[in-house]
Amino acid sequence: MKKLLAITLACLMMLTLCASVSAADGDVNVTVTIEDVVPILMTEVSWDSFDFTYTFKETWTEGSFEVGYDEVGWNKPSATVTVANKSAGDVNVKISYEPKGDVELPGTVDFAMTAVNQDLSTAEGRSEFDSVSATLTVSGVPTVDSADTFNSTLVGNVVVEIVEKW
Amino acid sequence: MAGFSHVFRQDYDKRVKVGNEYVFCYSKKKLKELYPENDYNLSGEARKGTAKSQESFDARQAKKLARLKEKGLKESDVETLKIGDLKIGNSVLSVYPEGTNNKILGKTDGFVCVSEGNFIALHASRVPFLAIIFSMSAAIIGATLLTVSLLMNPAPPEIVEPDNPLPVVDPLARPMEDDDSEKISSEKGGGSITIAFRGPIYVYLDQNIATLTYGNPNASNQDVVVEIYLKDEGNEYFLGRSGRVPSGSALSQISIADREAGIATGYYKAKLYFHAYEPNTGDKAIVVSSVNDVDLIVVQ
Repeated sequence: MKKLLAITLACLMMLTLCASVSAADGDVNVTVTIEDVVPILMTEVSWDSFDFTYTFKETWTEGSFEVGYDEVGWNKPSATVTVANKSAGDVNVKISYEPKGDVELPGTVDFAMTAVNQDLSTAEGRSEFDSVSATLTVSGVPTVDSADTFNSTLVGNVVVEIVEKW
Repeated sequence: MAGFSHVFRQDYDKRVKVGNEYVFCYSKKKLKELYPENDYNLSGEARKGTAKSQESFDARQAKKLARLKEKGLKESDVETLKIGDLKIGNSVLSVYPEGTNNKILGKTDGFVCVSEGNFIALHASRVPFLAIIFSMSAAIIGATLLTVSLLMNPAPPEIVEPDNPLPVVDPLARPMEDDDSEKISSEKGGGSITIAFRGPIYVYLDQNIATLTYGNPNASNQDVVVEIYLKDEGNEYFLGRSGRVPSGSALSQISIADREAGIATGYYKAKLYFHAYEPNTGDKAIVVSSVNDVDLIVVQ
């Protein structure tokens, strides 16, 4: 009797379950999603040597005791800084040159850089990273006697400013 | 009080200075030759020296005599009493009983004859000589002790500071995980840094720290020092500075104990500066990079 009752109950339960599934139209779907996370800022800032050297060559005329100087010139005319965006998001890049206010450049020496203000696109989906460069150029001629005071003297900084755009 | 006079003898063998002049006298050796049995009379002894030194000595002897008298001693019991004057050359020397002058601080310089068989010893002070000997000995001993001391405790070697001292590595810098980036090569004097950063920055006032997610991957060929500045109404306020973060390292915490201004809890914007240093030469890069408008949250 008991066994008969148990079997009957089991069958009733199964029928109930089947009925429920049928009433809900069958499929149970599960979806797992990842919401957008904050991208990591990843930017590469690379620069050339910003050491500029002007060379004079000492000369004298035969028969004279006076020393003269020939202008040989600068070791290099310019140096470049490049910023590449490797982030999974856009960034804005500003590049500029800021001279040191307490240093007076010798002779007619001058430094110039065209300031940069540019958006760089995300690295996602790109084969090459979006980048921007700025070049600092040197011009003019220093005075000969400035060789005594200008020896790896810091005269300014190249400033790179990056802002996330996400 | 007796008066003595210097009697000139042909066989005087020594010359001594008395006052500002030289006088002749017998040496001890000569006196011994003349009187091998010591059968001569030493009438007293006199101190060589200037008149001023004579007076000074006489005054000291008088005080000594007075002290002895206070103790109840009679004049006849003591031999500090001056017994006479010795005229020798242009000087007059006070004569005291033999043994009056200190045998350690002085010496007998010679003997003058004052009458047949009677002599007075001329006493010279050794104090200047002893002072020189003492000073030299002290100097030699001092120099020896100093030398031994220096040899036993050599001075530490002089520390020569480098021209470009590198900032100290931040103790909280740790190797970046999963960093397989290849190091970028640059020309001599150039450089490259890769800034890996995720905001926001959290500031915990009660702990005086700012937490951030920053990495200087192996791709960088420079080490980096990070500075945090809080932005407010167009001004930048220094919050904190890291130690040196070597290439291939990450940093998650910077102390703000030395911050420039007091701050309250809330939301701010910040600017991060990245100063690059060439790890081999210590040269600081002319290029200064920054990340602007970073979210900064201050909590208690």
